[in-house]
Amino acid sequence: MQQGSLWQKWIHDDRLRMIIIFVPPAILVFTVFVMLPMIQAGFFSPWKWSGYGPAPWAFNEATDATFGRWVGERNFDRMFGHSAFQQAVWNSILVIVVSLLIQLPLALMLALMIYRTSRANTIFRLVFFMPYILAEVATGLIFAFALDGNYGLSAWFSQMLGLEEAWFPLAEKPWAFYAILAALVWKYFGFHMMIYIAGLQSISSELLESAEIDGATTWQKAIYIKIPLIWPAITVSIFYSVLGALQVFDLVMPMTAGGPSNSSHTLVSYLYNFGFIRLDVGFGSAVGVFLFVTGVVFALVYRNTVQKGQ
Amino acid sequence: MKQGLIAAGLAAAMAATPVIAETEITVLSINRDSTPWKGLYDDVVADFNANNPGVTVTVEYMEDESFKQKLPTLLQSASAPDMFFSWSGGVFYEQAEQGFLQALPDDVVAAWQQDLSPGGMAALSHNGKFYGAPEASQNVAIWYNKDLAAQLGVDPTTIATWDDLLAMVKVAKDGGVTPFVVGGQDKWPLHFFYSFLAMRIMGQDGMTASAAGENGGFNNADWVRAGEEYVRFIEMEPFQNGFMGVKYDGATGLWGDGESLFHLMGDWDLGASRGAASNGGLTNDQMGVIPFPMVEGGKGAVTDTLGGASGFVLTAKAEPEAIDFLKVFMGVEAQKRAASEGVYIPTVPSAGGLVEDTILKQFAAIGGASTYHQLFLDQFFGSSLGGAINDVSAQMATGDITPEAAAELLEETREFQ
Repeated sequence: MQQGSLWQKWIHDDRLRMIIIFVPPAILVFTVFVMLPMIQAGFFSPWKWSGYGPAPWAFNEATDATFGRWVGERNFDRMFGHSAFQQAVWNSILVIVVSLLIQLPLALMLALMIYRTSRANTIFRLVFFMPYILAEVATGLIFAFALDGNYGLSAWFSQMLGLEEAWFPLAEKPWAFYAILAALVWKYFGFHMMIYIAGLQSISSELLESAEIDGATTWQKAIYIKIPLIWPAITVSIFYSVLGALQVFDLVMPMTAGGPSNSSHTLVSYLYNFGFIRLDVGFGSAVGVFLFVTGVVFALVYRNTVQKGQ
Repeated sequence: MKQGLIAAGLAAAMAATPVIAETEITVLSINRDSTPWKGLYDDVVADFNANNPGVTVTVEYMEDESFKQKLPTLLQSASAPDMFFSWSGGVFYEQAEQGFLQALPDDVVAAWQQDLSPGGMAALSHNGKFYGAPEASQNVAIWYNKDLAAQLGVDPTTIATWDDLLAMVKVAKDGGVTPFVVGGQDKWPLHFFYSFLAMRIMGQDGMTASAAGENGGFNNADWVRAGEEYVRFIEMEPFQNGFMGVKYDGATGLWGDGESLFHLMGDWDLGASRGAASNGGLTNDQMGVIPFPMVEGGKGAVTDTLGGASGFVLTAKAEPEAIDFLKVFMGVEAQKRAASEGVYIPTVPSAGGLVEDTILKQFAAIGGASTYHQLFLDQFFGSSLGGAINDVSAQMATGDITPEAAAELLEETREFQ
């Protein structure tokens, strides 16, 4: 009887049924493709290892030694002391700053202008959202062509301005990364704009009408009603843009490949370049551990402060 | 009754398939886009397959960079090829040391050393064991554009010293001609300058000492001087505008379009520049080749060469038939054809004389007269230290590191290897 009622409960409790059906596959995929590689990276990080062999500590019969060499914290020492790494950290911070100060305000402004449903607004939304649909590598290549001083838009502009020498932003030091930042803003503002539009459309029209009756201006409505009401959407978009900033990679590779002179690396392109291309998997793992810890610390702090109670 | 039918069907099916067990040999090569080279491979493979029933050879191609990155995983997987392309050098030593390659039997080595290039075979050997067969001989030298030289009234063949070259760079600059084109974004085209200067300044003994960590390793007066000479050159702004944003392909296209007086590059550039140029590139008559000049007071020789020593090596799992194929694949006949058709400069001595292309002939002469052949430094020192050499070559070109700091950084990287 007892068993029967439990069974009955299982069959009829939708929530429980959903958990049983949907959670195990998700946990499995998450464990295999996220947790295990992360744990593995942690174990690899104190080794000097080229990636040959199953693991750095595995014994290689051909050499009578392990595949890797234990170096302890030296991978981390080298990483923190490497000027290209410091530049990559700074660049990643720059991406966050530009996202928060330029990209998100721009997205919010546009969202406020075009969130109402009308035919013209739909077209604008589509146009602004278009860059987000484009593959990142394709975006990078388009920008690389446009900014090429030999045959791109940059050549055309230089000629129009009557410059004696064409401008090659991707070949010059501070400009190369600014160009990447511009491409990032261009590509992602539409995504954040859509988040805000979804939030704005859910604001009840009665609220806005009553504000209008009370004589509120457009500016006052935005500041005192709309933005506070879509604050949860804004915090979500900040969360995405900061974590996204830590992951920028696909745009960097086709545009500058981290150059000139390793000045435009982000953390991930740095990891890829110095970990994978240089066959230094232990070092790459150390960078990965740093990236992971940074991401987790940010997520925990953010969730427990800004997003607390949401 | 039904069972009987099935049995009969099975028997018929078995009779229809050949009894000889098929041996599959897979070869992994870097991209050979240009028709003559890939065509040569296709023909050699087709011949071998036709003459060796029971053996099927297939060649797979992969773009250089993805090839380098996939190889470590590929070699330890079940789908490892039987043989693959190798640039030799540090990465190859690592593969050999870790037991992923198969050493050739002694009798095979002895036989191959008779026909193939002993020097090339030595490049594909490590700790006394031989792992493969050499292919093309590659050398780097300075190309010059004869039309632009005539226009400027200079004769690059008179260049004997580094200072002579710098003087001609100045003439070109003053005459409004770009002295050199370079694909700075790839970094390795820049490292040729630094490498050559280092070789001319310290010579073979110095380079060997650096590799072994003697005399300060990389952190010594010779490396600093190589950097200083390089920076002296950089300060003349010898490259095309925006050179740090251009890859090798783009730069060699500019060279093919006649955009610069000089171009420091290997013999493979002949086909590459014509492929990348907008109008088919320069003709052989429009180009000349000179060796990298001597640096005053240097311990090296102008006949010391920098280049590749590549070929194909066998993986640990390779079938015995793979050895037979490798001998044909990189063999005398194939190399003779490569020479006469201008595909590449062969390493096989008996094929060397068959090179007809006037430009390749000059490179073959430079290679033939070599007093010491240095493998590309970024290959020779392995991916980590080699990559660091490329890094500092680019950083010095953008003024981000001093020659002293570059030498220190290289030594620090070497120590950590």
